[in-house]
Amino acid sequence: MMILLLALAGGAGALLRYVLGIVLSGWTKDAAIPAPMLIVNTAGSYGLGLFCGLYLQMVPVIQPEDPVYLIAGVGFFGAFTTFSTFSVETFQLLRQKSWMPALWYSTLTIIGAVLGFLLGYASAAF
Amino acid sequence: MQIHVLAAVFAGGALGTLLRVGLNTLFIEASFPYATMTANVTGSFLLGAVTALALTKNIPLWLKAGAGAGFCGGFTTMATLALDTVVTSGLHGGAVLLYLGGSAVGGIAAAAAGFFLCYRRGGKSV
Repeated sequence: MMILLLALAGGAGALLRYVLGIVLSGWTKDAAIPAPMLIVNTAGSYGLGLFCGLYLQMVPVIQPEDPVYLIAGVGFFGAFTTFSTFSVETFQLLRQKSWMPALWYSTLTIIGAVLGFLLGYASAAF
Repeated sequence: MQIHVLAAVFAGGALGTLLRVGLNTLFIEASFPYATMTANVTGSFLLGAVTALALTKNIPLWLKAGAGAGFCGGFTTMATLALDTVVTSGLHGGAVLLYLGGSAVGGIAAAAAGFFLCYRRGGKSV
């Protein structure tokens, strides 16, 4: 049962990321950096932060094996966000010798994810 | 967007998520996020390979999307990297730098390795 729910959450997260990626790439055609996954990763990290903040109002601690955390946090938000696309897109920029876009893209992705998570966590208090 | 492409992304994402969760259980007692780092670096290698194969071989879109955006995307994660960063920074500042630097540099290098390995085999000169 747990495996089925995890698979569903992960599949749904990946599917939503794929569809959003197509929509966002139409909107951000002229951007110097690959914006779609930057947006998705920041939004997904915000979502995980918000989830953790809200869930911690119901349970005292989140255990790594907590089923709700596993399904929503690790399953859905884990699969909705991605690291492999970040690596490949940064590598492609480096391969094209687009040094500054590569630096901006990698820096903004990491900062966006961490700040997004913290912001989501903080906004659970409101 | 064709339904069989979306189904492949869903299935790939579900499979990637289950593998990532399985990897997490191997390192459940670890104080350093080895599991996420391992998933992110190996997933980046695989996506680099998929990207090169898609450029050099006639791979149908459903397979490319299912393996790339689905499996590699679902296996790797940015939201958990953000969470790990926040949790680890509360324990040890040096560990955070090692984690973020190792994930980013390791992921990009792995993507490059996967790409060039399959790009050469595809008969293209680098």
